[in-house]
Amino acid sequence: MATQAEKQPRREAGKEADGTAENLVEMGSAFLPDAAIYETEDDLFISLDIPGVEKGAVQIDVDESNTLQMRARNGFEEPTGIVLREFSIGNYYRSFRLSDEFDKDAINAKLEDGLLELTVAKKEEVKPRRISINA
Amino acid sequence: MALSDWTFTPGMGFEREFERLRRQMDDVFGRIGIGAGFPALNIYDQGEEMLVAVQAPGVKKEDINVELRENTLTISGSRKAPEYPDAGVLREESVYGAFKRSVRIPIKVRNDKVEATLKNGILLIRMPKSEEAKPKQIAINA
Repeated sequence: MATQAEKQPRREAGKEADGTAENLVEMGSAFLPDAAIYETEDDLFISLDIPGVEKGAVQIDVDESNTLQMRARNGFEEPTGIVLREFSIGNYYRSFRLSDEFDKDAINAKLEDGLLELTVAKKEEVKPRRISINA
Repeated sequence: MALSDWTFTPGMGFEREFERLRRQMDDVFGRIGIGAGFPALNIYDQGEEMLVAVQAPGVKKEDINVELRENTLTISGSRKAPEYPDAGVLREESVYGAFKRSVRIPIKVRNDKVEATLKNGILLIRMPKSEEAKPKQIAINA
């Protein structure tokens, strides 16, 4: 089980390990993973439930229209002989439109225990500034 | 606690049976205030052993308990909500907090040989069948 925290810049997320994230763009139909989104003065935090996905099988892109796209390949091999099904196994895709206040070159991704956590920083100019008052 | 059961009745339409169970579970979980059917689980019959796969993204190994008592498998634990100090919640679709699910396995398994592993947010429980429950080839005599 992965316990080590992994921080990596945008676009690198899918490029490590054995290249299993290659061609994720053409992977066809995919499941929409559950998400949770939080915001602070400085950052946006997006967490995505992608059970079955190994490190290196996630690809994160932000296009010209500021749409963040997450693609992940599910590495869980379904056993044979299903007798009760509550979930189906497949790849994951989800996209989010980012407003202009976010810096699309400042995205960090961390994958642990089938949970992908993205941190999107706000641009410096939109962050609130605390102005100290001099005597 | 909801106790779900499942059967192999041929020609019964497993999906339909499952839907009925799902509704029952949702009803019970809804009444006691737990997110319906979390974590989701699949059950497989592999002939020699039964497998239960549980989707538990973001749940740590130390936060899951698996217990097999007689033929009832219980998976309990908790999923911690992410902690971002001073963060406002914009959206929360994921289920957090304590969970508990039980499923009756109507096949004799070797309780002493049950193994569970957690990998990439999927818990896999292997339950080897006891000898009398394993499939047997019956020779046809002339």
